[in-house]
Amino acid sequence: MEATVSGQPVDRPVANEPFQTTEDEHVNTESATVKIPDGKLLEVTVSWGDRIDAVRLTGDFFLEPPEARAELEAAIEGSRVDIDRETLVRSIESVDARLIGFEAAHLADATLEAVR
Amino acid sequence: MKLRVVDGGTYSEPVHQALERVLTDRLADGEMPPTLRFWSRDEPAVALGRFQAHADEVAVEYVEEHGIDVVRRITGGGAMYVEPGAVITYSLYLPRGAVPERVEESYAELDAWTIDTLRDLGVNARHEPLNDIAHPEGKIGGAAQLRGRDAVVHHTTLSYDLDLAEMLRVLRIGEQKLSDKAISSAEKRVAVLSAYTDASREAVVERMKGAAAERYDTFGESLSQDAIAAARSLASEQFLTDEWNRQL
Repeated sequence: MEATVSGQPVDRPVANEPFQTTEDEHVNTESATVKIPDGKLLEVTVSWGDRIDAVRLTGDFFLEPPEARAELEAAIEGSRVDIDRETLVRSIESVDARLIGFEAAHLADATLEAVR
Repeated sequence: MKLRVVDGGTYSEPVHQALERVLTDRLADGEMPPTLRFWSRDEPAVALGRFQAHADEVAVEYVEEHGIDVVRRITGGGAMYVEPGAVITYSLYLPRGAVPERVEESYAELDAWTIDTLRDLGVNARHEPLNDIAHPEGKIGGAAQLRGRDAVVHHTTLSYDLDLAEMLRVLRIGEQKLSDKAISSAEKRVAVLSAYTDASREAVVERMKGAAAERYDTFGESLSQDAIAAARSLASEQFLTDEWNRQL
């Protein structure tokens, strides 16, 4: 259930394009919403098979620079669906951006809720 | 600090939103003095937050039927429904060095002169973190900022006499946001200034200019024709296109 990330190199699916599937891989798409106490809303739409293929992050938050939205999404994409929360939070935190009105943990939690 | 005050010039929502980009860049490039701009509109519109999903925020069929412009801002934050004469929108374009680096502080500081003005008019307004201006009975308005290279744009919209029933037809008020706050009627979340003061919209704006003049060394001027032309051209390239407005 929890982290199964081993020290071994993981084989990435050949098709790693958003929304593209390999034959035996079922792709799901779900959204999850997190309401942050000060009133901001974060919605994450995730498509996944064994791995998270595509992420779309929307909401009434602030982000500087704004272009970093794509980098936050990319920090999640490619992760195994059973990635542990801490690893996902660290990956999101590694993006050089100022998150305003939400934290990396909110984004990680919404992502994990979507794939659950 | 010298602050130019611009009031005048009625533009469409795409041109207004394009001006935000153009004027912020011009300030950063040293081609424009720090400026306070009051907006004038001729049509209702929706200003969408930069990261919001178009279809989540607006009643798509309704706005298309009624030809209401839905324009994505360069700033984050939430969707605002705006009507000519029924809201007060202003922008501050300031050098980055003149704005607190802490975001929470900067919202409070850059809205403080507005809140003081409203309180002088007898409106029980206060800053509500992060970016709201609130009355005990609801939200009066909200601000949004973008920090560019060397410039910050801070724009704020206050509801003066907004048609809240129409707002509810235009915007899809987030159900989750509402239920979380256990509020049954969305109207309760918005408070309009005209309910708390007899001052006309124009009188409120004049009081705001007076408050700005107490804090800064203000002078009145129009936007340059060149800046307006640049904004019109950017509006066609970006703020009028589905590619930008419906990117999400």
